[in-house]
Amino acid sequence: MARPAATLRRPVTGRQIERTQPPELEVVAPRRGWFRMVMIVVAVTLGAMVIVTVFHTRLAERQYQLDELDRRVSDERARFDVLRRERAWMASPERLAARAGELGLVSGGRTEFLDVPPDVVALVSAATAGLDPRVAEPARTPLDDFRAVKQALQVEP
Amino acid sequence: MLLLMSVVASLLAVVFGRVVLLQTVRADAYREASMEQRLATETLRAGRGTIFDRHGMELALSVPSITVYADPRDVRDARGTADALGQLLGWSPERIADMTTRLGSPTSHFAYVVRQVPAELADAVLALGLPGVATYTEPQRVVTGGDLARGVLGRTDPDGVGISGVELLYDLDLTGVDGTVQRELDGEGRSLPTGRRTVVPPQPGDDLVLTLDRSIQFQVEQALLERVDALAARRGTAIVMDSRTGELLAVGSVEREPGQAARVTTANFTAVSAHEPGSVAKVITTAAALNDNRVTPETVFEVPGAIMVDSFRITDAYPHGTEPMTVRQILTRSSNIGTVLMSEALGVQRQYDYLKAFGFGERTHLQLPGESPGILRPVEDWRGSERVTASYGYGFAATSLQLVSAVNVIANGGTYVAPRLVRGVVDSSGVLAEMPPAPRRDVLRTEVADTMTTMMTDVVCRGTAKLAQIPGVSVAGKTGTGYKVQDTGTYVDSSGRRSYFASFVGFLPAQDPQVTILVSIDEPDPSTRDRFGGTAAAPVFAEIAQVVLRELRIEPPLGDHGCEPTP
Repeated sequence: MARPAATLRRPVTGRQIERTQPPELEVVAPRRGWFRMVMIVVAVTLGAMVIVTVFHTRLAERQYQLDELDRRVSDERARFDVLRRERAWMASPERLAARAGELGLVSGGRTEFLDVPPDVVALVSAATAGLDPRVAEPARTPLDDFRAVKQALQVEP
Repeated sequence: MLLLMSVVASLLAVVFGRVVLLQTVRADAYREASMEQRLATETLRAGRGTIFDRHGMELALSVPSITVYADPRDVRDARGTADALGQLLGWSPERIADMTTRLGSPTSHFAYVVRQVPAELADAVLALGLPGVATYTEPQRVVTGGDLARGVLGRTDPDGVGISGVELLYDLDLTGVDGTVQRELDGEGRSLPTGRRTVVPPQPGDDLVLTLDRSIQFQVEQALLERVDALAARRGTAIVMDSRTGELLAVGSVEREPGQAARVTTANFTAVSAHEPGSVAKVITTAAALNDNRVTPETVFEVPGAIMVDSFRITDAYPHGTEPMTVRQILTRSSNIGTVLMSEALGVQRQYDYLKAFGFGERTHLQLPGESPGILRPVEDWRGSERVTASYGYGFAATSLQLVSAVNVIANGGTYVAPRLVRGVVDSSGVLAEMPPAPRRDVLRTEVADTMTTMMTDVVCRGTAKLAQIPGVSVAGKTGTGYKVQDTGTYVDSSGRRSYFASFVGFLPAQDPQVTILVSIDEPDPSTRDRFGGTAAAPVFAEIAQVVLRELRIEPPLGDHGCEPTP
């Protein structure tokens, strides 16, 4: 493909150079591509290091919290057993009898069975048939509580 | 220059070789050593199962306690340390000397100072600031009700291993499987955030739900303690059994050292100790003769005042001439000779067969540690008077557990039901699994059991056990007063005195039996009238029966008013 005539130039000879004005030199800004690249890399690296440090710190905090939770679970288990022992002792017949004795209570003595006419029994039954469910329902025993806790602990890893 | 380069190259080669060596041949060993430094493995002790009573109340459980120990390598002054510990803990000079020796041992790394103590005491020891002395936490087994049922529950050693009673019998079930936690630690012992963490969780032991009723157990023991003290007896035992299921509601053993107050025993004498049952065995003979249609309650025997069997003179507890007695009267008056006459009608072989059927001569289904099978020799080995004495309770020996189970055959309509001590097991996931019912077998016809019940009711209302009566409730039972074999090999000691084993076994309400109760008093004061089954044991039976009526809310069946007033 032919170039347009206006763009064609003849080669400049040495004599022609001598006859023309010396070129005007000017200071140009140095090329900063490499520096910029280095700065970016450094910045990215620093940023990454900060992120990693923060991430690592958070991990350490979480691990510390996990350790703390482990310790607390262990402490609570121990406290649960201690409280179970205390409750069992507080409710033990030996302690109740001793406490009752201190309060001046005495054993009920002999049981006596009375003959109650059937109609009286029927009347009383009818009058008291609607028992309060809180009374009628058996209370939870320590075994029930214990089983619930044991089931809960079973799902813990 | 060349020399320098050669040296550098050689050094690099050495370093490279070393790196290769470390990363290949020795890599595993160093990796392991490194992990050992960084990894801490901690044992997670599996909790020992809890023992509950039938109502879910804790009888025995494990709680954390503090153990104080010393590392002799870190102890600077063995004598001074032992002295300081001994002063605080109240040790004897011998124990201080022993601790001094142990703390001074150059090869030892560990020595217990004191195990399983309250935190306050452990803190006091640590406050001494003794180098090499430290503490750790370990589980301690505790019985929540003091001495309650100690003999049945048994004990564990300080390491939590069962060594007696239920703790030993069910040790495998109660003991869990220890777990481990392995963590990677930093230099200050904290877990590394991204470090390795391996957890093998411990499997806690199963929990046992016993058939015992804590409240009844306590009151039974209190009644026994009081009676054994009052009679200056050696021991006392009592059993409360559910007549239908064989479940043991209370099993009490107490003993008394001379000059001291009685206390609950650590041994279960209802299972480990066997005695000649005496007259309680007449129930077996009479029931057997009725069941084999050899007699009826109204069959009359001419009962002499004494008989000679193989040069052995047999008499009744009270003197009498020859007189006619019905079978009912023989049982009510507890006639030895009348019972011998019945057993002759029954035959020796059948007597033996029935004793076996009633559970004598073999351990019960409980298989408790140290449980005695009693003594019942094969019938072929019965010689001389032994061929008849078994009929009224001599010549063989039975434990209290065997005896109450045997008499319970009558209460249970003729069916033997083995005693049962464990209702269920709570597994590691908290699920309660019921134990299978106790084995049972038919021994008597129901009508024979009913007849025996009426005869045993007569024993209480009109016979030897009037002190076992309870107003408003019918009671059936039988007294037994056995002579104990002495060191002389006879029933009298070198000074001519006898020792007694007094017992009473009964059930109530007689018309609809729900509980069977045995009480035995071992060696009551022989100089008093309270040395017999009807005077030593029957009153305790009545007291325990009152407790059981209240606790189990047992009401007598319609029409049951107890013993009719004697005209």
